Amino acid sequence: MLWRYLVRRLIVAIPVVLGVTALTFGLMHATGGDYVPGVNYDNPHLSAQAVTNIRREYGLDQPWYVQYGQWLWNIVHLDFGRSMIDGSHVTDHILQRLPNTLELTVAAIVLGVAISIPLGVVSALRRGSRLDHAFTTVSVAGFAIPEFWLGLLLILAFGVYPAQHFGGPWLPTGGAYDPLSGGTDIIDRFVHLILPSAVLGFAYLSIWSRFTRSSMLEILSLDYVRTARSKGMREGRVVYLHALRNAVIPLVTLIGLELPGLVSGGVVVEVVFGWPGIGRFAYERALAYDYTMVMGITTFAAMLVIAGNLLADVLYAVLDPRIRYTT
Amino acid sequence: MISPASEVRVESAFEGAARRPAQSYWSESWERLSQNRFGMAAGAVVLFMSVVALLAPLISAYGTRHGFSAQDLDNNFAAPFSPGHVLGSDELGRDTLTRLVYGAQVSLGVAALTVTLSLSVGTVVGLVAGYYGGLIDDVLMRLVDIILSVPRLFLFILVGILFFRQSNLVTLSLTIASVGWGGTARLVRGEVLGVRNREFMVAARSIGALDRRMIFVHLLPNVLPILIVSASLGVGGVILAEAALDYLGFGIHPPQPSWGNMLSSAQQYFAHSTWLVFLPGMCIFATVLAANLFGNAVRDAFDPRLK
Repeated sequence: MLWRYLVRRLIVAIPVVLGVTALTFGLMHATGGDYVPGVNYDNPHLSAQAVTNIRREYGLDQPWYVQYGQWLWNIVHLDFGRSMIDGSHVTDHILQRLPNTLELTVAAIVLGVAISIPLGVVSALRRGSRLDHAFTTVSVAGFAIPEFWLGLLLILAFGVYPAQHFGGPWLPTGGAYDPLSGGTDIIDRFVHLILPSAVLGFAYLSIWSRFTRSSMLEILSLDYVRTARSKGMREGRVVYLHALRNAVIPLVTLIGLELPGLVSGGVVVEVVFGWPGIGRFAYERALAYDYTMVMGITTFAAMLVIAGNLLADVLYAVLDPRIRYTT
Repeated sequence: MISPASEVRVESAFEGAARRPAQSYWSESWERLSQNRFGMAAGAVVLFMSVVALLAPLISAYGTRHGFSAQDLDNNFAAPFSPGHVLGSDELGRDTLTRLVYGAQVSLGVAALTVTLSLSVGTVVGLVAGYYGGLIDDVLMRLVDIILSVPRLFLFILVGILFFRQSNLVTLSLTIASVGWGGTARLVRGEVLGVRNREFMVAARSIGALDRRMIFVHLLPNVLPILIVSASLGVGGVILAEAALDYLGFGIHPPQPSWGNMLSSAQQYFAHSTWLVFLPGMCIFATVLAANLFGNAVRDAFDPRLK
């Protein structure tokens, strides 16, 4: 059953992959289709014949379906094209910055999970208490606060303000590491990670703590929990061993939904904190109108979204056997 | 044989029922919403912001007595509550309150237009996909999958730089709605699948109703509640997305003020003029918060699944 489900799920993903690549290819064609990466067309010494030759060399004289086929073929080989401005390879830029981006988003997710599950459980156990209301308020606020504004406020509170009044910032507010240390000092990297991951994690926290709370409340009212209690099981064991386990299953899907955002979810935070990740890089290239670069990165990110969705579905199917029979 | 006693009971029960006037779904839902004081207060905040946005030219002419780009270089970086500038002024001496008021126009205008656009497109796609099923359904839903697979912000930036080097309220709405319709379509399709084979649909078909009539007269009213809910819950997200685009420089460009671009230009003067960063952010936060809280109240009142 599981295998049949997986195969079916994979087959459904194929048209989506084709569609996404067609979409980005179409957008690219509509704008910079005639461009040869890295060639300066304003160069007066560039003859028309030379342009034709260069275009033939790059396959740009081929009909669009041949070019699309080539684009697909390249993507299969993890080649996402080249920059329109300097001709550098998109994949090289991605690989160079991927570790930084993953460092940030994974830290934010870990932070979010580590705080939201206990918060949600406490809220559910003390439903209607002041603590519950306080947590609710915080998470409602978390939905409404703009990431970039929260980031700026934290920079003010931990960087600018202490620098003015206490002789130096409490926490670094830009970059992933101190350039002088060269990024090898783990403590230095960790300290740089605190503010950006807090901002990004806060958004996750709002969603997941709400979800854990309602999921816990639902499970705690079920018969098997009552049975466990009536057998005389200790409350802690009931809550943490029996209820929490089942309450967390749907949360896994929810966290799985963030897998696609691993690369693209933190663009704004990366920009605010000058984080040397893929998002900020794409942002800078977008400002410079480097279409092919932005397009290549977008395609890459979209492929990860599809893979992430697939992974989340599979994870869910493994955890909850019912899902295989219903879909 | 029915005993007299039981007859009496039935009669009185009937009378009791008759005393309560019949209530439609809409008046019942509206009553529930208006009894939710907290939600209504949040709605009032959104309404207030909308009125401010609509009256921006009047407020600028008679209230603050500054245009949104009128410079006052002798009084730049004026602190809040200084004479002539109630909420202070920015690096060029432009009045912050006036700019915030015009910023409300951008945020709420884009929110209203985007929600309208994505809701209409998404509803039609969802209705058609759910009603016809089969190949049409497959094609449309894969299209939605494709749109929703491309990271949102990347797609906004792409569409932004490709087609609208000069962004304005309408192009921004189109950009955000080009992604937003996907979610609505999925939602509506799900609802349609639930009611498609119900008896009233079969009955309508049996007396020869055309597809068009089936979709717009019989299906649409059934998805209306969920549309209202998704519209009121969607406003906050659109305002946040628009502000992020402005902040990143892909949205409204200065000198026209928006909350997002005010923030991005203010962050340079962070160290000495904190309020310039604080005020626009506060406006975004307050408006989105109010919109979300009102959306929650609307969901509690209108969502038929919560009853």
